[in-house]
Amino acid sequence: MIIELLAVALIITAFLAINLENSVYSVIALGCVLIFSSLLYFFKGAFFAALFQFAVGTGTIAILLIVSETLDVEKSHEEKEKLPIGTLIAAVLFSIPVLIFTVPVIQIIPETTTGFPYDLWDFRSIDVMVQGVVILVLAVGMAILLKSQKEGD
Amino acid sequence: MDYLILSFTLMAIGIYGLVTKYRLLKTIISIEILATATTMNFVLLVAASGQVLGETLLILAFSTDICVSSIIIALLVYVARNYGTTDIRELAKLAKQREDAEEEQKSNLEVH
Repeated sequence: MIIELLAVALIITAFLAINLENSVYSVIALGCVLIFSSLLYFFKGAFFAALFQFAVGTGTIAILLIVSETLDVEKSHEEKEKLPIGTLIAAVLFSIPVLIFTVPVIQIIPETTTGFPYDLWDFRSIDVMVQGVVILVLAVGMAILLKSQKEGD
Repeated sequence: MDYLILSFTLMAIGIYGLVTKYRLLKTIISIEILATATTMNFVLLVAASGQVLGETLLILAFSTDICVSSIIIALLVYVARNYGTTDIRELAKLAKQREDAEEEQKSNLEVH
């Protein structure tokens, strides 16, 4: 029952995050999405995933809240936010198939199972490679931005 | 309750946000929701296979997600400070105006 309630709450908050006009409320709704998904992972038995999702969600929400508050280009906080009834109804309608239908997932039994820390250590080269690609993309992006800014000046 | 359908529903909501909303902050939120949907799929398949390796690789997905988010937020701040708006339609208009002004400058220089 808790899982079903979490799923419905997840869909409703996702709809609200997109449809609310006020940026701060929208970011708070996104925070609820991330926390509910973290709780769902926890109930599914993926404890590490839940932990990381919670940590990532907290950081993202903190940064997004600061950005939405400090930039303030839309002046959205001055508007009075009305509760979007249509959005809520649409969200509840969208959550019905989640509760009713099921998709069969084939259960694969692994030949050998190892522990989380061993896998993390054994496959660390993948981690390093991905980090390298991410840093390269960041460097290229920074270079492009700085070049365009220099040309603009 | 099915996680797979929940994941697809979340993905649909994220795509809806990407298509219909024009503010950059909403775009970031939509991308976050899309990332949550894909991560949920990952968790489901990992739980079905029973291997811990998937959960290990999930950390990579999270770190990539953070990198993408940070780059988009940096772009959002850059755009908002330089152009004074985060509306994609207004930004497109500004870019067109800028191009027209540059072309006019070029044609004036050629005439002189």
